[in-house]
Amino acid sequence: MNAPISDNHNNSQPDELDALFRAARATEPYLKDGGFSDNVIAGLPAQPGSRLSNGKKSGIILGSTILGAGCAATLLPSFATSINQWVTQISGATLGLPELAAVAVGLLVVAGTVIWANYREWI
Amino acid sequence: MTNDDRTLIARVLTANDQRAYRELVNRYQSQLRYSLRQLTGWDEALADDLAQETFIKAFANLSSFRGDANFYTWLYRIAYRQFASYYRSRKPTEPLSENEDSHDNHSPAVETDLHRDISRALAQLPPEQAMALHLHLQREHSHQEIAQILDSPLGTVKSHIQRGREKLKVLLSAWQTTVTP
Repeated sequence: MNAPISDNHNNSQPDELDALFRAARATEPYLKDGGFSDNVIAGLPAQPGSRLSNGKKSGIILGSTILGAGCAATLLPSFATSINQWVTQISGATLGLPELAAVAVGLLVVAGTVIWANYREWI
Repeated sequence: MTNDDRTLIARVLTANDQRAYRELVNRYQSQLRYSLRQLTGWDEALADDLAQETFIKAFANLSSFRGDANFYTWLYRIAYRQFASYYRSRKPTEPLSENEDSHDNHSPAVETDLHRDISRALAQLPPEQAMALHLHLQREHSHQEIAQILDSPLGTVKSHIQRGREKLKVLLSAWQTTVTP
């Protein structure tokens, strides 16, 4: 005999859908691992949850930018000794080769740091 | 959350102990994989892929696990997001026929059919509704727990379950004459 289907699951009278899922729960198979855990472990990142806070991330990027500019200043004396000329040139039509090289070195250092931090899953 | 779960999680976070994480995976892999099979129309390969991604994401975000909920609850929240993301990208599946052959006894083959037919029925529902129904009917979670897992308002969860039950009754009507309430 089919019991009337209840619309209110809070009723004490279980309906046929509840009975169906009771049977499903009772017969739910245990799924053997069969290499599943191995696949999970093989796919894990290097470190669990090793994420930096936003403040630390910003600090790394800012520090790398300053480091990049510092490297450029050290390697290119014209950059270190003619800041005014550099500013003038920026506001002018073209930049000189040393200044462009300094900017390029700085950007490379920043880009490399960001790429490395992403690889290490810090960001 | 069991003390064992807390201990294992602590070992993973402090010592990057992958054996501890493997133990966690072993503990929950069968449940999670079955759940995802039931949600994906019993697509075993897809369910295992989603489960694998879930565990990997859980590992990567383990430092954000606050421990105020069960690890199992937190894991299922990640699994739901993985499932919902896949659902949005997939093509619609064929609807389940309402005129299934009758099932006259509870032989092992019939029990397997039951799991598959439930999964095919759930696969025709929107992901949030399907997950709410699965968590309520198969996993016997309360509405409040489901709302936590789905990160949905309690009223929304109740609505999903109420409406979803009616749809499931239609989709699984062929089974309901063979199981006694």
